[in-house]
Amino acid sequence: MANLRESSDKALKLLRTLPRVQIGNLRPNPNSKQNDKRGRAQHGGDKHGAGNKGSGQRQNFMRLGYETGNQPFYLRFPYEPYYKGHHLRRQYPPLSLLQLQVLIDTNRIDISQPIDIATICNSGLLTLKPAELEYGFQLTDHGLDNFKAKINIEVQHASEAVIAAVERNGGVIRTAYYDPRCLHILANPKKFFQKGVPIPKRMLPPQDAVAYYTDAKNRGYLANPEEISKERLVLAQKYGYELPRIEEDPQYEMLTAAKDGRQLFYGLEPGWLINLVDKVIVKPKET
Amino acid sequence: MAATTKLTLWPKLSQQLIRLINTQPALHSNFRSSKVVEPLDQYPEVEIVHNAPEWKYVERLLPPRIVPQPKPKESYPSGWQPQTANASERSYYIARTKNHMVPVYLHTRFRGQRRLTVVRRVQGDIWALERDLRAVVESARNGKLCASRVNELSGQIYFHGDYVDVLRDHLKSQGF
Repeated sequence: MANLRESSDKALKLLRTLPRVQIGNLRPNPNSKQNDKRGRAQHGGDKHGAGNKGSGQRQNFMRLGYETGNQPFYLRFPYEPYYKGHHLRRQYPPLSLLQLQVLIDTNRIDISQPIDIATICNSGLLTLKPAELEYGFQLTDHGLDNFKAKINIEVQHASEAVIAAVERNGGVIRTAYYDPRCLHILANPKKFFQKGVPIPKRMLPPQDAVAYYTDAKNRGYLANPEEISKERLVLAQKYGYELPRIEEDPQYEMLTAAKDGRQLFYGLEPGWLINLVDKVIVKPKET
Repeated sequence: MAATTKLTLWPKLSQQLIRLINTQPALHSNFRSSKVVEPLDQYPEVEIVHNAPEWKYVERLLPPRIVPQPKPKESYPSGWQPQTANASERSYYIARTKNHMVPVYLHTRFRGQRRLTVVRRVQGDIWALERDLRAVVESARNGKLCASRVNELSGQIYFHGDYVDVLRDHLKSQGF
């Protein structure tokens, strides 16, 4: 007994100098792990779990899906192309109104200027990958009730409730299409300027996106502006809020700032070349 | 005679053929594969504008070099709020992250079977903080006990289960 106490004392003494017992330096209980190697000798190497006789004993592993002569399950039903062209569809990664409000509260986005893809990407918290068929951001309705900012924002997709949430605060929302090349530039404008290449022209939307971006209900950038102002009023009546008058707003100029359908950056025209080193703009002369 | 000419011609030809098959055209860098400069009158006329009034639009497109400091405001509708706790008031302190967020995270392991709530960036008396936070978690569990682990070396506390929102709200209410 005394011997046992002595050894346990020794163990405890040793434990004090050892690192803390935690998940990283524990080892499995003895005999809890099975040996990976199979025995080869008379009784160690009997069946190795492969059973007695037949296909099983020969370890004749059949190919995946093969049902020993039956029509295999994976061939039993005719093919239905549910996901045809799925890998080619345009994607719009979500940006929720809550996220946007956090970005504004933490001073990552300046709401005294119009917001577009470049502003969102320059915040450093969201990225856009045009190479993975991401065609811009969609503004989603999470945090809709707590959204209180007056902004001029341009996104690529927005639902009706989101449009109402932005316009209720006296803001302006627009949905606009950018072709992948322009998206690549907008995802990192500084890198593009450093290349020393003229700003390209923005392409028009593809055929299947024209209907969306010419619809005033979606606040499309190709829609008739008069129709949009009418739809703003209609939406205000539908959701039951009084539409703030932008004409009387002190930030009228910022709120009505919009890009041309062929323009990539606010205030900068296609064909111009930006020199960041000399702080010079090279403009082609008009002929 | 004919045989000797064949022999002399053959190695050259074969070498050329092999080079054709085995080598691709060299992929030069952007600079080397760019077009050669043509005479200047072939290019369109340009105007170089110094101090252009449009330069403000360019500056707007350049990202900030460091994470901007949040400006003090009357209200923060998103629920985010700046840190108000003073490090000297309590025996412990939790620093905000570089993005000015409360460092409480959810670790999911084993395909979501195990969920751990991690409180990071703890300074000072981590054991006192663990006692306080454990009381919060246990009240959220209707008084049931909860497992926790303290790593005082790295300043982290682990709680078993998903109590991210509970702990983050509690820490915010304490001013951290």
